[in-house]
Amino acid sequence: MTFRIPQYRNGFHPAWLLLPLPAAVELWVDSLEPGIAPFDASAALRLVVGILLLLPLIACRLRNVRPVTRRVLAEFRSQMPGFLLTQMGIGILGIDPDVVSFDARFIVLLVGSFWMAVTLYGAEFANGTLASWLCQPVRRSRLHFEKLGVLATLLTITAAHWMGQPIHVVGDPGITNSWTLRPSLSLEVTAVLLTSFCLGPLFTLLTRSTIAGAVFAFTVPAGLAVAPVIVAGVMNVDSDYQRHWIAPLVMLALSILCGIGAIWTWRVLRDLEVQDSGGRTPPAPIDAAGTLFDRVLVRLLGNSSTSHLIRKELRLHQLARLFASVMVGLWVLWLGARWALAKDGLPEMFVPTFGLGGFSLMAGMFGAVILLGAGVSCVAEERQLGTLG
Amino acid sequence: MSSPAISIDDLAYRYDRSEALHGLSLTVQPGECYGFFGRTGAGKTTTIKCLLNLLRPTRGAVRVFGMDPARQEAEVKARLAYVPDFVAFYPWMSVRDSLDYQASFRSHWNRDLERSLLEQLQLDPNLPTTGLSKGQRTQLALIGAIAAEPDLLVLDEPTSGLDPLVRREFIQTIIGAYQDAAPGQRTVFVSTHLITEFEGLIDRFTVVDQGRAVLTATADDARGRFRRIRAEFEGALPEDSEFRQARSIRRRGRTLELVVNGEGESLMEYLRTRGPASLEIESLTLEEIFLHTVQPGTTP
Amino acid sequence: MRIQVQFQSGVPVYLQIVQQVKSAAAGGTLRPGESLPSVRTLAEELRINRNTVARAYTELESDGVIETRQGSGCFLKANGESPLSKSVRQERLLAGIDALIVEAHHFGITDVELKRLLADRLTQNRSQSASH
Repeated sequence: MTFRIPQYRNGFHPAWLLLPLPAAVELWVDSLEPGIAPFDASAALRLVVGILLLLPLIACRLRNVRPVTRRVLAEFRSQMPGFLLTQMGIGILGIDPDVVSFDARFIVLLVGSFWMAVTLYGAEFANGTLASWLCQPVRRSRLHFEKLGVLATLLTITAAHWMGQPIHVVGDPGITNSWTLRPSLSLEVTAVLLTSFCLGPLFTLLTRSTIAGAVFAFTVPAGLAVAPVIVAGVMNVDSDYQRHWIAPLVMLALSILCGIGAIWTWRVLRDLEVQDSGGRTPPAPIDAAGTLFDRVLVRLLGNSSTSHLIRKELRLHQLARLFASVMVGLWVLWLGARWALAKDGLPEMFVPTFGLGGFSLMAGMFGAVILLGAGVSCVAEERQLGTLG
Repeated sequence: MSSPAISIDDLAYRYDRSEALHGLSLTVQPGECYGFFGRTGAGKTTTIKCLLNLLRPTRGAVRVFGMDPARQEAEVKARLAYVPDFVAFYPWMSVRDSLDYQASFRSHWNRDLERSLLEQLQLDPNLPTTGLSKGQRTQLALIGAIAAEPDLLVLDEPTSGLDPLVRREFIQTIIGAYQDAAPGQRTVFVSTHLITEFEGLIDRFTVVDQGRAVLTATADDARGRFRRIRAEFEGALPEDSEFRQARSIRRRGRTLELVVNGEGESLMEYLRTRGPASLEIESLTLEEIFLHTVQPGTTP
Repeated sequence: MRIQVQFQSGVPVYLQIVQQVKSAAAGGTLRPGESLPSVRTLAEELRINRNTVARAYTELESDGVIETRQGSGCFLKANGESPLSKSVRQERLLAGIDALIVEAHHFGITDVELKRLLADRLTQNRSQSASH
């Protein structure tokens, strides 16, 4: 059996799979240090999970299958780049358990699950296949639930893989693999996965773009989660009793948001109109914002051919980039604040758990990934259109 | 069986900024090869998307085999196959994968027809879809549409972007293969602005311009009515005012060229009385009829 | 027999096929029992819709000119002289006469002159065939 190297459009390239390699090498070198057992229960688990992860990839090669299976496998195949990259990230970062790799793993989980969630419909828009997909003689509800089924499966596998990795407690290096921590962690993992599952497809359908969908799907719930923390900080809420209310409140709000999101996604798809065949034009409000943005740029840059190129480049993903830049900015601000305030001791509000610090770290990483993705996809698009000079 | 394949009544569609269709009506009977002619932007694609529930009409009714596409979406789509003007495939699929994927949505799929068309059009099933030319992409989409053997084939600009040399051959092969099994029942609804390729294939057509149907006729009737009369005179040519019923008048030296819509015979009679040196009459081609309808006064 | 279609003639395409088959049958180009091209072949050759060819054949069949044998295609009816051939021959002749009249008109030849020319020609032909 010949195994074809898959060709990906929109910036996905097999070379991406090599991205985590430096981290892997570094972690491997670390693990050579004495005092750390090379094989433990979780390593064995990772091995099993690693083998299981190959199954969807092999399944995609099957030929004589039932029609439903064929459709589901095609969907799996669309998700493979994001899925595999996420699993590799989680797997490699799990080799050496320490605080940094644990945080990084959480970011991989976050980015990976949102990536998969936004590719679900984003791929149809990006490939221009939305119209022909919607014209198949199958009910839209069925098309929708087949897609969601695949996403749910992949996210569940991802969650299981993540939870199977060694868990390191922040601020307490002595405890690794503490099973007692898993219930509370699983709540956070569930929150991330549920949010991406419910809001990722929704925002891609609303914005008709993968990148923009990813940005909104992340910022809306993240904003919701962080707002009470900031409010508490600003109002100087000190009492532990009052602070304990924040987490449940955020969870409740997120659940409601996810519920609304899930229902809304179906309604958006049910009523979706395909005005443009390629599915590339943004909806009117975003387009209008783009025009305004463009006019400002003309003022700033003049009307040379270089300015044309820059403007076109920025317009393609301008809103998404704006948001992503804000996220990166937040992160840098946070790092700066932490560095400046460290001398006087950290104020309570900035304790780097799942408060503002954790958020800004995640947002920064997420934003950086999106900027990178947008850039790569632009280049890919240009190459596709043959407009790359 | 009695319900028409397509019936569009007073259809209007409004985009955010402009109205694309204003009160379009047409009926396609089962078994017909129906041409939907119009310039780019005349509202052809919008109309087709309304048939497929890809757009929802602002006003008016659309029925496919008597069913409302918005309410019985899957049932409507099970009876038709659509090839969009912009054909796209999943980039990671080969030609074979893509056909298998399309077949997975259908309850019926003619493997033999699929194979013979792949051979006829010399399309290698192992080619990746990303490596296909524009023409090959259209061919692949058409094979997928025809292998499902639907009752109605909806084609949106199937020949644009194809090599002019192969266009005619290609469309003949495709529509021929589609109609082969049941010539009386297979309906084709084709939108195009390249009409020459379809000259002999079209039974009936509608010319759409600026969102309105401006002419609906059978191809034979239209050719019988739209005629070009060429009269050569020894002396002075007759005045324009003598030919009020002509749609266009053109003078070339001693030759007078008139285009008429009906009334060709009476005009011939009249010209004979003027004693021309020669007098000829011929029908316009569908392409010329189309051009005359959307731009009266121009003679192609 | 070779069937040709002229879109520019203004005559419905199916009718052109019907007329050509009838005149081929009348003129002897197509003999009783001889097969006609299949719907598919003719449609591909003329680059026209299969429905149009099928319609022409149906018309010819109902006129009693051809018959369809299941599985083997269409054939000119073998019942000797076709009932239509005489009228078809006449029709063909009349078309030629019509063209002649129009031509004569263009050349400014009066009806009386035309009749005289025709009569002269007929006499000439008769005497020629008699002498041979």
